[in-house]
Amino acid sequence: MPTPASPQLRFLLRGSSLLLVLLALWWWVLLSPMLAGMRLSTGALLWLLPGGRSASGVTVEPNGDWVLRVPIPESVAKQDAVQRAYGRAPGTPRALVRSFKLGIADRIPTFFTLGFPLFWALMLAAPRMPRLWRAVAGGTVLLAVLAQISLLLYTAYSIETTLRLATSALAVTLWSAAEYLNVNVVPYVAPIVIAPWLHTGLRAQIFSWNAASAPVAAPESAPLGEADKPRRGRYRGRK
Amino acid sequence: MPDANLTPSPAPQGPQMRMGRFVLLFGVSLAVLFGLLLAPPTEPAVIRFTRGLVTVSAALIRFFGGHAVAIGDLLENPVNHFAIQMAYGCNGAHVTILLWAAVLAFPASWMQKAKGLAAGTAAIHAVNLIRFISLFYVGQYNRAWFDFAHLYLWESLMMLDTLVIFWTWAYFVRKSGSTVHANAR
Repeated sequence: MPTPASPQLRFLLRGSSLLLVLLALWWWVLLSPMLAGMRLSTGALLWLLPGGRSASGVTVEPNGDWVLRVPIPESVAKQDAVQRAYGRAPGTPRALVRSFKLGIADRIPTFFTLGFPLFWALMLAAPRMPRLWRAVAGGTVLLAVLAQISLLLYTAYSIETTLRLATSALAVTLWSAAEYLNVNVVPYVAPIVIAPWLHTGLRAQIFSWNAASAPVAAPESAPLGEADKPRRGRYRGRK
Repeated sequence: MPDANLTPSPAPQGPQMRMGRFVLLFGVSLAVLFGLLLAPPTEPAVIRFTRGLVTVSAALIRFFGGHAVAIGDLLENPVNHFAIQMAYGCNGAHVTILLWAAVLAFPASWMQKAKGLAAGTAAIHAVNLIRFISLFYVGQYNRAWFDFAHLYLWESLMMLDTLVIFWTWAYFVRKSGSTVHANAR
């Protein structure tokens, strides 16, 4: 089968094929260990929060959903909104609030790991470059950090909406926008921003700053010879 | 097309500086465009557009001999009553914004940018219609396959397509030489 001449088409075909393979690998092989790792790191981060040593943890329900026990700092626990949410009636003693139990559907952490197969497909579909595996490893670590941040942001948003901690309309709007972008945009957009950033060959092909800065105009007095004329219909990307 | 010879040539920007400028403009454009998408005043327009896409999808399916009716943002098969909804994030708006931000940040003439925005948007929505119609059929066949294709496969493919569309446009801009002119401004 002949190789497509256009680097864009070649990249699209290779990227799509790799994406199918890597998505299947991710779904059937890698997803479980990835989620286990994320549960472990989330548990460790919750443990590090103030009050986390006595009241924190991540468990998994039989249907796969996660249950996070998030420690609530005393300064937050004292707030009227939190006290009301925990059923404290006016005039009664303050309720002792140590943690918040939050259920998360299993598709949410799964979403946050979706960037990995897309990132790997983009990196492997691009032209070969020296130290490719180092760039792939660096991007994978970056995506893992991003996935963890996204999960924590989602957790914070879910707690905020349940306890209604934000009072101003602006704060509520900003929280909603952050949550929308966190769940619907970041998992898909991050890989296509990180891949060209780390893959110098791909970045050079897309942007070609050096080629763009090279002068293209010929001296006005010198007519172009036949050999110098741009050729129509010929692919010029190939050296 | 303006001639690069006629433009006074200031000190050329280095690749790193151009990349920095692109990243900055890309980030600002992304923030502004997503801000506009999520702003309450634009919601009715987005809903109308989404319903328009569902109507076009139903018309295309009927044109090719299939069974489908558009009910607001729902696409329904009148025979077995299977229906799928085109939700807020399923109308191709996210990837369109991504493409627009990249095109607006790339050094090119405004005419080239306008052509890139129009052609790129058309290409994205053509792919999105194929995506939506294919999901309509996959959903009638197997619910588990529908979830996988909807949440993971098609979304990733749309991102890949958007990157390739931008790359193709940037390639034609460079070929026409307008990048040089835009940089010299």
